[in-house]
Amino acid sequence: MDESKKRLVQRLMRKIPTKMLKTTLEKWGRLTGEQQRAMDSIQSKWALTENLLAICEENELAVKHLTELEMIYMIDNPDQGMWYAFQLTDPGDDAQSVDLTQFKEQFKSHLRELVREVSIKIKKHTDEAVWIRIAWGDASSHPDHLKPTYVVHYLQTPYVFVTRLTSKQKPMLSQAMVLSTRYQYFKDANLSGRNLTAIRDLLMRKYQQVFPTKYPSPLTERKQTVTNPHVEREQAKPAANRLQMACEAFGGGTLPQLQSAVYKLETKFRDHTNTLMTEREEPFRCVVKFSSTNLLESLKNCASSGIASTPVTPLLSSIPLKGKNYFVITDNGPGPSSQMRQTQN
Amino acid sequence: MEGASTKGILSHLSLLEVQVRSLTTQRQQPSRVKELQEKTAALRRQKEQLEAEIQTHRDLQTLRASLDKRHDDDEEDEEEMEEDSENSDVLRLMARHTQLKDLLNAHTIGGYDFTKTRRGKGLCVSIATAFEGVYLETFTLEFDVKPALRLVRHDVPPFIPLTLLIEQSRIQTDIRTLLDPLSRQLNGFTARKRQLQLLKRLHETVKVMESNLLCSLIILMFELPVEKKVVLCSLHYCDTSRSLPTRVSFQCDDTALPDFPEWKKTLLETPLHKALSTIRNTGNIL
Repeated sequence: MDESKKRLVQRLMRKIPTKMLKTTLEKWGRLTGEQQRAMDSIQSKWALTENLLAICEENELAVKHLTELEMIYMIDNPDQGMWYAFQLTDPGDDAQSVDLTQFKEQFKSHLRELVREVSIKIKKHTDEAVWIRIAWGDASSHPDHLKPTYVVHYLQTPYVFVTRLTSKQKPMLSQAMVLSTRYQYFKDANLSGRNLTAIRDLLMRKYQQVFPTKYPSPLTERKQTVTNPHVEREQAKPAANRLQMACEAFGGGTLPQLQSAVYKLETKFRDHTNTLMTEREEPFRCVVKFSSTNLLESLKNCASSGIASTPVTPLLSSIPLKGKNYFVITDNGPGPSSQMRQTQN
Repeated sequence: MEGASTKGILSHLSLLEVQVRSLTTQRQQPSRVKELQEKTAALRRQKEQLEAEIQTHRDLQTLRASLDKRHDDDEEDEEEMEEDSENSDVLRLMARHTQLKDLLNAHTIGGYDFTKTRRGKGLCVSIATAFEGVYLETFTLEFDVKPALRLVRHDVPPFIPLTLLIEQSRIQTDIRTLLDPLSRQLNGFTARKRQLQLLKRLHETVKVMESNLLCSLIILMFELPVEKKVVLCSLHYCDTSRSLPTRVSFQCDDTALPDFPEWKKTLLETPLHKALSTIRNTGNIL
């Protein structure tokens, strides 16, 4: 067995937790019943790896079979590392009619024209997502299967989710993607997170949005800690109002799990007592970063509990509204980098 | 009668004939008068009735105006009107009925549910979708009203070409130029999705080989029991505002098999799950 295959098996076994190994191997379907049972009986990770190596040899499994196993595990457990969202813009007339077979063929041929040594595997998941695994190589080396890029795209939508993509590989992916989906441009959507489902739901508007319609859906989260009935009555209406505002800004139900939001300020320093800073020509540069295990939920809670004022400032409500968590804020005036102008309140 | 002798007997006879005729008409006159009198009476009754109707309508309008005024002044303070006429209750009810009907019309312009938001600065529109009498999903769009109508947020899925529909509409002057085509697209999409769901539920032997989020392409696989052959059936929904396919084609290894023209017709004309039931009932597929 060659060294690269061996390393791929070792790496895969390191990544897949023992308790998930059984189901993943079953889905893979490359093992005989006996081999599967043998794997189930082994406890130690090292022994498991050795056994799988032996099975690979016995069944004459190639690298492409192993990448299949990796893809199966990745599709079921996508929350590893950072996912970045990209947006395709300016669709052509036939963008709506691209089907999977067409897309597969074209993506592969376009990318192979750009990079000769590349290994591409495309698999459609049950939720209609098209998963693409790309192992890159260059003129002097074979595709590196240890550092593959994963791309998730839903046909007929302008969104592409990518993990483990280097800046050198980006232009090539961009071109192959644009050509095979019949769009004009492939640009950064300024949204990233560890949870693929969260950033997908945010961009594809699959989370529960709350609109100020005439018949509002009953909002279930109502915490009542106040015991005095008078105080309760006095506070019930503003509290309900704050909750409604918070839900309208961030959504109802379970919110997409984002880890951070970054605001890059390139604005003038405003403080009358500090003339030294105020009179500076250069904008005052700083970065504000909000971090949380579930950022949107935290912000919603701030607004509904009254810690942050309502209506929620557009700086915060823009996260779900625009589907971004990276903002560059400049002073009024259209600049190339201005994603959002500063608001005065 | 001197002229008679000079002009001859025939002309005298015709003169007599004329005289007889005029006499008969004179005898008919009274019945004609009676007829006209009856007509006058009928018209008068009609006039009275119309006058009464006009009066009722006027009363209704005054009532309605006072109702509207009071509604504007204070919604909660609605005291009883003091009117003695026996019809006042009915009139009041009728006025209230027209008022509510107008309100309903104003709020659901052509089937869309509109809500004013942010103290008149925003506008929310809900578009409900339905298929075969079943309500499906409801989609909502929120607009800024000033300075110009502008879409702020929505929950329309990304594969519905909303931006394109906005560009093609005259949104500033007539919002329906956006809502009508959008509603057709959304109804088409939810209807296709529903058919696919029903297909999976009702026809377990038919395998869905391929489909997409927009449900604009569906490829099915089923088996012919007699020939023991597997057939692939592709349904293309090129007009995404419709719930029925625009093109149906079949693929089979056995080229000797016919092109299934009846099946094509059924699939093009009836919803997917029903079409398959029809085909299955004729015993042609498993």
